[in-house]
Amino acid sequence: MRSIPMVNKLISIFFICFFLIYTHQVCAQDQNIADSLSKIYETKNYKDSTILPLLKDLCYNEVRDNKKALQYANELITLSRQTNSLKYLRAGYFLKGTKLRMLGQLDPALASFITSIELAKQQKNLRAEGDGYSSIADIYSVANNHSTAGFYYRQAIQTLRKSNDSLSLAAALSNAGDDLLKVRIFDTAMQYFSEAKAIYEARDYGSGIGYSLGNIGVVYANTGNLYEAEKNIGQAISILEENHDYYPICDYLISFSDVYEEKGRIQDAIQYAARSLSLAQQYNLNEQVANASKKLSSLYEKNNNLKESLHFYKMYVQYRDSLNNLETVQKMADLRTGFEVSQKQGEVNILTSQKLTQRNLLIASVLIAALALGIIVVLIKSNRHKKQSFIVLTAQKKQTEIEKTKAETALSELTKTQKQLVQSAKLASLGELTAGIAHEIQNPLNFINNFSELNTELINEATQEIENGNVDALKLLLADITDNEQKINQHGKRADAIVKGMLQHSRSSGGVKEPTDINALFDEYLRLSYHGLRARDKSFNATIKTDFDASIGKLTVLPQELGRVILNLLTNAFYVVDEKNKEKSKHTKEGINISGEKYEPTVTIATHKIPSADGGGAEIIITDNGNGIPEQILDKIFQPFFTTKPTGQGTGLGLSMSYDIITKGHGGELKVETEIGKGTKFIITLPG
Amino acid sequence: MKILVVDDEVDVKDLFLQRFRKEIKNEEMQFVFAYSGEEALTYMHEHEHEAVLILSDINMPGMSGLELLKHIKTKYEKPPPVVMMITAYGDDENYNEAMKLGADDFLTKPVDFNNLKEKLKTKL
Repeated sequence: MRSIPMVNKLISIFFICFFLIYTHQVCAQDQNIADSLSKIYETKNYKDSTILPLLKDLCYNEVRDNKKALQYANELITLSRQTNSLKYLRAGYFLKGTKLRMLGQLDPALASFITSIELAKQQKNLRAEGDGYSSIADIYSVANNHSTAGFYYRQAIQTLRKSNDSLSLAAALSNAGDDLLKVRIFDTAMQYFSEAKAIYEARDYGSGIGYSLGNIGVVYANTGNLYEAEKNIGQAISILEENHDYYPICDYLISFSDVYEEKGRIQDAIQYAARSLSLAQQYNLNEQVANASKKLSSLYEKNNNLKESLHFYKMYVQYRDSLNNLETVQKMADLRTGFEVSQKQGEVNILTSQKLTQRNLLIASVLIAALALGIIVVLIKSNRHKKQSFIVLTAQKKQTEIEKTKAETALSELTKTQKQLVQSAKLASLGELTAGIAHEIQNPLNFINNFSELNTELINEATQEIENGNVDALKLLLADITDNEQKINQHGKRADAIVKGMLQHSRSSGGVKEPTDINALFDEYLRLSYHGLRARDKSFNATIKTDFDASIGKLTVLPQELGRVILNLLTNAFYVVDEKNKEKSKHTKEGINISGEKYEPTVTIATHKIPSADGGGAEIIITDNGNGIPEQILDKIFQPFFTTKPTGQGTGLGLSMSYDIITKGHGGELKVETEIGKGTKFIITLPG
Repeated sequence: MKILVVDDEVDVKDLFLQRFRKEIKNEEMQFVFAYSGEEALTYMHEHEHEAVLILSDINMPGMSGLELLKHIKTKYEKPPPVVMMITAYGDDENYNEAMKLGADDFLTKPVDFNNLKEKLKTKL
């Protein structure tokens, strides 16, 4: 069963084709015009000043050879750029977009339309800007990306409302409504179609009114209002009959048949399908004959009239071959949706057409339709193979585009996830710190509380000694009070530093480089990481050795970032020595041995000054006596997400983050030296 | 009566000396200090059965307070000294572990010295 939106899409496409044919008399797309213009162009029989309009018309009318048309568009762009003719430059990009679209190159087509929009904006040409949006929307609509298509249609409609160009607006509204039908947003579609209809009525543009009525009818049919549907489609059919436009009538009739079939009114459905068939046969519309006969076949089958069903199935098969060829044309037309007719031409056409008599119009229309049909037949015959390969290529192209979009989406998802993971790695290391922080804060608080209580006692005693007149005792007490005050102050600052460090650690961005006493920084993080681990694992134990070179002084670094590196490296070091320790004690089954005979987990952090002309940098070495890193994974350890820890215990981002912080953040180096069974050394080199 | 205080925080010494200055002055109590579990064991080795009460922090670099506790309670001749644990982590896990290993009491930081004084007096 054909879906109604699909029918409507075809109608919409045909509407555009019809529009082009109808406006032929002035300067609509016409291969004959292109052929004669190309003679002028090739013989260089033109004035220099007319080259730009000539190229524009040539490109516009060249519908047979899209590659050639694309060349014209590129030439138009180059020449108008040289002569700084912005109007033609814009037209050039717009035409390039339409030609690329016809060639199935949707991405570059989008790029061209975007450029044309930019130029239109600069030139404050609202009509051209709106047409650009519309064209982009058409591409997305054909590619079934309806949310993006909807966005651009809204842009187009919004922009065109501001321009004085009601016909462009009506066309955008019609196509936007058509796109909405596909995603079954009927209320907005109805608004668009109604507005388009009102515009066409105001401009007295019969076919436009006919299509709008038909579209409105389809919306009613979809929303279950069959009475209104029939009324509107009935009017549409009579208007389109006046205009000898039978193709869409056939489709409307089929969509009616669909609606009745859905309602279970098979007899009515058959009636509409039969009407469609007879009309299609009358005007030799092969695709419509095939559609209607297929529809009738399935309807009769439902009615258990197998004889009739078979009869229409045979008819369907008979027309299927020619249908395949028509589909080729259809595909090309599909890529041709949009507004090739510039609005100015549209305006002139309407004015001109109003002046013509009805009779002239009819004759002209029939002649042109016949001419167009002739061209199509010739095209089918001469380009059959070419077109079939074009179908395949278009399908492949489309598939490639879909795959590309999928890959791009996956990539952006991955990038997003990676960013989240980096943030969560930072938070995880904050979690590792929290326990250490709790411990580190309780200790200074212990001193602050107790020394301040002591001072209160001491002050009372001092008051007592004053009364006793014992100056020596008073002096001793005051000295104690002073000492205690200093201790309170010192531990208060310690707590402050811890909280600040914690806040800085949780910050996602790097912060500012500042002169930092890196020995003090490392000492602080050493304590935090050690106590953090101790808090989580009671059995954890390691000897820490420090060898700080005091001559390093202050280095300009990102303190919290560098702290994060040290934290990562130390956490890893503690982890490996602990692993080795657990392994050893498993084998020996010994209790605690304090004499140091067996394995003693040891982590060393050492700093050295590297003297140089510009003040000198520093080398920081973190050594553990764990099991070392096997050679086969040594080149992987700085890769993101690489971890040897059990699932859930490591993010695999610690070392890669550290590597980035040292190399990218500080212009330094992070190297590793390891020996199996003996341990590992991480060497950080920071420039001065 | 000698009390051995084990903590890696250096200022603990000043704190205890001041907090217990009256008791020290009256020679009710005597304090010695060790800054690690290892140091505490060494002291106890050298001054056997001198310290009758040990106050130990749990989180220290190297040997932890719990290991020290275990060592004292398993290796020392009866009666082993009274061991009270002091920690910044007042969590159940630490508490249960300390009790399992035979701790005589469990205190959390910040230390309430009035409370501690009373406890010391009853324990001794």
